Amino acid sequence: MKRFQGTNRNKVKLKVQIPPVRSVLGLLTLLFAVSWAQAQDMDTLPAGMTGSGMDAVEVSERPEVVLNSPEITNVMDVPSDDGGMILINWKSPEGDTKPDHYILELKGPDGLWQIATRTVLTAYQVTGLPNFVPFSFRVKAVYGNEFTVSDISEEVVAKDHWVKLGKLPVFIAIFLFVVILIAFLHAARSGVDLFVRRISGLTEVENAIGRATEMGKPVLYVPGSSSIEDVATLAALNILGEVARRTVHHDVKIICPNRDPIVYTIAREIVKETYASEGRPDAFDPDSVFFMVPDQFAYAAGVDGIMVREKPATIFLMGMFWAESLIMAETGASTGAVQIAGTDAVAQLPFFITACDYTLIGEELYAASAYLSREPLLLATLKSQDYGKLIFMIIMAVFTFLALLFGLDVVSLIQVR
Amino acid sequence: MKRKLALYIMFTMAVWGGISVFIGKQTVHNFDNLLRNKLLLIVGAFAIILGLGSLIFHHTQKIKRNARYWQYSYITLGALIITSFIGLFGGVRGEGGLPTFFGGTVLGTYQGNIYTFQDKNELKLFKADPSRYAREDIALMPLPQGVSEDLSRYEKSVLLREIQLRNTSLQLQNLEIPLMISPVSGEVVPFEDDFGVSIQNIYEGILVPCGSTMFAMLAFYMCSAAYRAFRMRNLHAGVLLVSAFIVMLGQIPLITAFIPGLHDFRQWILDVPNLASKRGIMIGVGLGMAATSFKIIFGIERAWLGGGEE
Amino acid sequence: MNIAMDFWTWTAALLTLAILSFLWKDNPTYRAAEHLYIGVANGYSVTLIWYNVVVPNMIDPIAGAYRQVAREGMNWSVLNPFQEANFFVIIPMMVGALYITRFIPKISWMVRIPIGLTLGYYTAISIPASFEASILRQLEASIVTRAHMTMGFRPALWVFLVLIGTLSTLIYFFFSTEHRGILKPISNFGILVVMIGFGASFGLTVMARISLAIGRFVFLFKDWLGLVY
Repeated sequence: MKRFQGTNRNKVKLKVQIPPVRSVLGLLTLLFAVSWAQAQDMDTLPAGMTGSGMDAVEVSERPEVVLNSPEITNVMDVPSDDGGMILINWKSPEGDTKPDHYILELKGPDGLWQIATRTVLTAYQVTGLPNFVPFSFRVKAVYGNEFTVSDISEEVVAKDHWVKLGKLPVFIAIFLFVVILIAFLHAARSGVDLFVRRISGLTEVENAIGRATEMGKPVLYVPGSSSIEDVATLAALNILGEVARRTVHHDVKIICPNRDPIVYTIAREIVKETYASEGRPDAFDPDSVFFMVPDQFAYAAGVDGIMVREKPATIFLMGMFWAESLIMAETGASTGAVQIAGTDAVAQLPFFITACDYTLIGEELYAASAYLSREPLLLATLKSQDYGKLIFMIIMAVFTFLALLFGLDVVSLIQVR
Repeated sequence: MKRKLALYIMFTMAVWGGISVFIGKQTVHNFDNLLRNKLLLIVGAFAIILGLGSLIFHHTQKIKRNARYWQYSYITLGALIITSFIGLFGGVRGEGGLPTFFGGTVLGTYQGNIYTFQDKNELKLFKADPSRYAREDIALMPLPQGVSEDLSRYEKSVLLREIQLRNTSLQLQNLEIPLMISPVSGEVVPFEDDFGVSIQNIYEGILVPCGSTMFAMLAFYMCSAAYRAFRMRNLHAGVLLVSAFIVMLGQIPLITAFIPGLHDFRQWILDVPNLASKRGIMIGVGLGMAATSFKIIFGIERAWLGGGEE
Repeated sequence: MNIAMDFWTWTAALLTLAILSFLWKDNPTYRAAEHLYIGVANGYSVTLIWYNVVVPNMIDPIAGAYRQVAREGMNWSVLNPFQEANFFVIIPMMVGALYITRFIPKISWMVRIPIGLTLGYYTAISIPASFEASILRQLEASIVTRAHMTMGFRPALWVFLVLIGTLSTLIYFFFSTEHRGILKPISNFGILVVMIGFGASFGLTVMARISLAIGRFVFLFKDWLGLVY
């Protein structure tokens, strides 16, 4: 813990000339006002035009006209998808009378026409088709009770492709993140000190375990009530390692009941490993980490039982929780234990905040193990998490500027399909 | 080497899992589904053996050491053994060999109406007078002046379970299941299901009430949590509490009728600050998750390997 | 008064009371109910795993494949994992069985193999999922565009405010620098937004929880004691 404190705190830091608050507020107001005014200007013209157009339709009698058919312009397999999708474009019929809507129909190998959709648009993406089965399409333009039909399109098959291009933004974001991560890992390896500000709640971990030593009472660690599929559980298991290390130092008993058998297996390995690496393998009590029950509320009942009977001095509630969060946190609070909770379950955070002494909110849970261990490599992952966030904040602000001031369609750049 | 092997396996699986998301080919997709929904499920099922081993060890240890409240460990162990026995040998839907339904002689002493299930689609019941029929004839008897009744939800569930329990290959139109009002509970139950100790009974009689009572206790805990926040007397807790009260009161029509604007203000809280905070937290959590995942995949965090041999 | 006489209704009612008694304090009835609950829940999940995982995914495929071989002789299709009846499931079963090596000290290191397998897969699939759902979709929704500005003055202002709130929340959680200078008021604003949001979640949940509690008391007074109809 002491290694990185105080020495080079200001080394890696945002070096931004910080403007005063009022100028930022002024700038924001200006941006809002300008874009608002701009939008009003743009709005008046088209709105007026459509208004007059609609009036014209209403007053004039519909003349006797020949209804033209729509024309299919393009039928194609959607490129770079996972199959089952065909895109159809068509042209609205020529002439003054516009159809009320279109009916897109498709015909598969069974030779029957089926309705794919009704739409007012002139394009549609049919989904859920079997791959490599030929389909042909036709479009009906509906005018009140009458309709016209387009020619039947050529046969097209939906194909699955190797690369899902719609996921490109995700890929780029991950790539960017990995680059940042590798850069920070490199920096950590070459001895750059990575500054992380004080996170209240985590600074209390040491004191809380020290308190258990003074009172001669155990530490209860609840690694959430989810399985390994939740990353929050992994974060909780990483923190468990750090907490266990401190309990070994302070010679305090740790109690870790589990709800998921796989999580139990990993938790046990982690605690055992910690005892071994701290040179006290003999002190590891195989019964300290145990499996309790897979049922959500039975688990809550059991944990409550431990809280009131063992009266732990410190309680950690880390990981993923559902409704049982408050059952545990309130019971723990009523026993007078110091409680440190952490979860990314947004719906449960308010309960932890009201019932626990310290709460790690959302990403603080993920930052915790790195923060506690002060291992340079782990801190590097924490920094990459942080700078990733900075980049996304900048994107958010810059894209809003571009969209508002220049009307650019920046949103489609990050849209995942 | 032994640690490396596990790391390599973990990394290989991670590469597959990470890349398969970006591949559209159905064969890849199918294999991924097989892996996730079958193969990993099979692997994971074995972990419960470790879990149960730990549970049994924990409680036998308690009994052996005469730890505080060791007597209760007998309840857990006994319940575990009995429930597993009934479940494994009785079957989830009574398909096991163990008889889990007792009763069947109730008819003799029974006073009241027998219900006969007639048509699956209509789910109607017909009342009959049981005292006139011998037990074996029940299923074959024509219905006397049947008074049809709509089934309640409970009755439907009982009936459907009964259909599952019996031979489903029977034509339902011709199948008549005798039901009765249980002389003890007063509820409509299938004829033989008067006293069952099937896993379903255990589920409904023990697990459901215990679980929903634990859940219901939240109402009390919420009050004490709110009081705790009230006592904290700091800005953050105060803001939380005020916002909670506005959102809570704003959904009660009686109160919104008296306080103009409360409903709109509640909606504003939900749509603006609530949305902003959830979004901010979600973005941060997303990055935190990614960092944690990479930490494990790159082998930076490897405590899960446990101690022991290299 | 029409008290229930059914064995299971009584069991349910007594267990309900025993668990509710915990609100007063820990007592023998709660301890008994808790231990019973844990034992039964474990037994129930053993049953579920047996009938929902072991039988359909292990026993049925192997038995089916065995029957197929007995009927048609050996062919490669019984090794196809996509086929309903196959011997392929033996491989994941063997991997799963490695969990049990934990009980055998000499080869207990092999428990890492199934753990690594599961851990690697679930860790990796969470990465694209979290980037897509938690980050890019939220980012996309946060960006204010001209379309928002045409919605009317108030909605436009609120969208703008949501963006500022989101950014302040993110700044509050920024770990790489102290909350100093302008970051201090912004992060203070951020945590206030967060707290209002949490309050909203709290307020939304209260009603649902109270109705659950009412449901329990209805069970006690109606189904068990028959006091209410």
